[in-house]
Amino acid sequence: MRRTAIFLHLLPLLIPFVAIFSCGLLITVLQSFGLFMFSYSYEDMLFAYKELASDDWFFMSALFSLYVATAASLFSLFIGTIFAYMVWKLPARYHSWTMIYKIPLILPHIAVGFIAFILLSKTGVLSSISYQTGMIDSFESFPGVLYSPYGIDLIGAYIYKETPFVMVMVYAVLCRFDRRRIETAVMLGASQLRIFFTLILPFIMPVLNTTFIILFVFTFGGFDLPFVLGDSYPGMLSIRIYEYFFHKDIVLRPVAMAMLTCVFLFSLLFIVGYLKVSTRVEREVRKL
Amino acid sequence: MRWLIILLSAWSILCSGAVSYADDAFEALAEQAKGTEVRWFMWSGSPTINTWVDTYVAKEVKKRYDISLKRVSADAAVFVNKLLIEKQTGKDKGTMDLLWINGENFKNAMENGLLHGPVAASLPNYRFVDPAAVEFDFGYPVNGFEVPYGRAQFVFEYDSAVVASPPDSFTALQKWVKENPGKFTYPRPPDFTGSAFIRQAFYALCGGHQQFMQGFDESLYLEKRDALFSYLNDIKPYLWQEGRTYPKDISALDTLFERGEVLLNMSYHQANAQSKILQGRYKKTVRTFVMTDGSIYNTHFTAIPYNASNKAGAQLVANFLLSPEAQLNKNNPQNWGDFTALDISRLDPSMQKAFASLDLGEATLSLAELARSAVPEIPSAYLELLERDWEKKVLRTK
Amino acid sequence: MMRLLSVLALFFTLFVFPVFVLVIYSFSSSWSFPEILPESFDLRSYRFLLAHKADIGLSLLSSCAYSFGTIIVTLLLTILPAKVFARVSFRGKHILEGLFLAPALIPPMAFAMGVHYMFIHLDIADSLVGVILVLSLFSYPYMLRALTAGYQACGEKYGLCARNIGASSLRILLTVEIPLLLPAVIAGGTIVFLVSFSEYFLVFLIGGGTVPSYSGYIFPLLNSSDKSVASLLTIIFLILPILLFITVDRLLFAVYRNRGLM
Repeated sequence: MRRTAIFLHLLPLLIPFVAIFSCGLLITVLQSFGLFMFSYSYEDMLFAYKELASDDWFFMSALFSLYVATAASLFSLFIGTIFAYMVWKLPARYHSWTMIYKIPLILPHIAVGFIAFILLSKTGVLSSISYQTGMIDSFESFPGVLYSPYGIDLIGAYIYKETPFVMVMVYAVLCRFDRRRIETAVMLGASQLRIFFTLILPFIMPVLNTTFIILFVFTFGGFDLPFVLGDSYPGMLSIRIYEYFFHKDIVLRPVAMAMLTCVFLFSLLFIVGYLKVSTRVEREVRKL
Repeated sequence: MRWLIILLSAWSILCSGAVSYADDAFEALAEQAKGTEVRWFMWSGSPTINTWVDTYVAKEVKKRYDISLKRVSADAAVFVNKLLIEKQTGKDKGTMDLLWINGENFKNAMENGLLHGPVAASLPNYRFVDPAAVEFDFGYPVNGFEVPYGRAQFVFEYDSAVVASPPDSFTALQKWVKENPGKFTYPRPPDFTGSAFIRQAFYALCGGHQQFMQGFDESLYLEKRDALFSYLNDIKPYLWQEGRTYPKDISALDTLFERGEVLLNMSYHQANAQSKILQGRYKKTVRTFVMTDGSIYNTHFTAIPYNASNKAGAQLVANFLLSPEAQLNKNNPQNWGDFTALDISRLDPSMQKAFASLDLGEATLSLAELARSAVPEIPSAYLELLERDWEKKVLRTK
Repeated sequence: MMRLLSVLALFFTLFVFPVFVLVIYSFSSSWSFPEILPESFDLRSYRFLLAHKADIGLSLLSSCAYSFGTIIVTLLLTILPAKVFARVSFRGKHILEGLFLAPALIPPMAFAMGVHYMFIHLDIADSLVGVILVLSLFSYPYMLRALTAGYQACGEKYGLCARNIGASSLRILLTVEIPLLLPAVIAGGTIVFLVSFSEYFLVFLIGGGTVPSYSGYIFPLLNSSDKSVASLLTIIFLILPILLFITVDRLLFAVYRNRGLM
């Protein structure tokens, strides 16, 4: 395809991308330097960043968010792939019966946070069940899953929400897989495990990579779910940003913007870095 | 003597003329607003309040003035921010007509010129209000830019079937918390109620409210705050979740209390307990109490943004909310339970009787008792510092 | 058969049980520890629903409207670029791909405040158009990715055949590529719809309360201590897309079975 043709094809996306998305981001970044800040002017343009650099809570919150994002994404990917494979291996006419797995996909993050809250709180449903089955003798002995400093409640809620997403993505790709290759492999004497690792996995690897990126960065910066589920210490970064934004004096707005800028830069670096690594790996795998 | 009579009659004619002129102006507003829509931006975290607004208020303003009231859910801090941006970008026709606002949000709005006014004094129902009572909002002069809506007072709640005698002062609370670890907490500032709790403690531990009433004094604040924060840090390990984390807002604390995870609750609404009992959310044995150190009260208001598209309609709604009928209906715990901002002594005798015979319910404290312990709110500059320092000195400290 | 049943049982426990809990909650105002089932049932939350049916209906309708609008806009934005990304290799392609994914990955807050500022200047804030635009900018990457995968999977051969017979580019697009891309469009469209329908912050910020939304209606109730009403409204949040989902899912299989591709 010629250069101009390529460019024209990309234009419908390029224009809104630059005009809306990039400009919006630019204003955020500029505000973090104290510009475009209504009637306020700041002598020190870097005051927001200096504020952040000396803030322990910011760093701890960032690390916590990274940890939750990694754990939730990896687990979802793992479980989701296995489940998708299980569904795909069923006879074709039964595939639509398994549709119930898509329920968490439909629920918005705020609803999932709400559900996790009712289930996991010390006087919640799981606690009542444990009490009735004699596992605990009062609600105080129920483990503190909610507000856990290890983020178990957040990770669990995110896994519930994200696993079906993985399943949908992987299933869609699996449908394009030629089943005859599996039949051939079985005829040649390969075990189920071998089939999965040497035939299926490389085929779905690209979609796994993409899904991981989406899940990871979304979880890292996700706001709705932690906001409804409840915060702990140090808590997710997005909640810190929200607080600086709405609950503190407008004068401190640049600090929120600075945090957002950091999140943005990190996400960008992550995407670029991950893509570079994964394309190299894919190229190696294809050579095999 | 004759001159006096002539003077007096002339004067009374003038006054009645003035009054009827004001009423005429208001009539004109009513004409203008007929058939229009008023968008009211307010905190909508309480289904009870929402229902009251959506059914009673909306129906009444439709009936009386043919106004369609549209309630929009928005936190005060959020819509003030929105107005700020709109002002900055020169948007003259905004989408908000009426706001439910008070405290530091009002101050922020005023400092940035975001409100339309003064409007309060020109509303017919304003004559039932005691101007001295609504002169300041958290220490900031109102100047008629907000219209009184209701009066709230800070109370504590407990289940009398579970807790025999609740702590009645902050010193008693300190002891109670240590004897009942994990059974008490407060919503995290800057939640409205949590912040009020801090202020209550501040008054109680730092020598009373009088000293803070003369506007903001930074040196006074710096001198007094340590007593507060060392108290809060002292009780911290005995709080729910060992004080590592706090309920993010009053709704979260309500949930904990309703489920029995904590034994004391707090509310900035005097009749909250009764209202919840009627809805079946609280057990019938829940009761309200206040501390002997005093309980803070404040007035909450409605206001009109500078760029409201329907200022006339908004004024009509604000006026209706201030009317004795609406205030009476609001005061009933069956509907909401929020106390009136009106001065009862200025109402007609029949209205006075109606208010007096309101059944506020078993769970609500008597008006006399509430009045006895009422202390005014602190200037909002203290509030912002308290919230900021609480985060630094209590939340983040190990 | 056993396999089917065990898979179903697993999925039911994991995915459906929480929803089941919601249903029970919606029927009771006071369900407390340690009851497995609430001791008293009432229909208060359903009465609430009826009392507010106009508002709820309006916000649901509005949410559907801007969600579908977003699907159309994202489709228009990404159908041409997807072809390029799937089939052509050019310098800087990978960087561009990564860049285009950015809006889905960066927390909406980051560009939302800046975008709001711009939209006010352009006078499209507080409008349906503004909401659809910002949602499209935020969710197009899903459509882009789905379409790219779709183009990659269906291959150039059909298009080439058609061109050999003499079809124009537009004809090829309409009669060959789009039908083949249908599963990808549906997959992408589903995600875009769900993301838009569930979004709270962006819609409220840009829509400013003028654009009603179901997520905006339900959000404050989820935080309140009235779990009964919140549960009922969450169930509605679930049912509407499910109905759409089932319809589309069935349609897709019918179409594919007809064409012998499944």
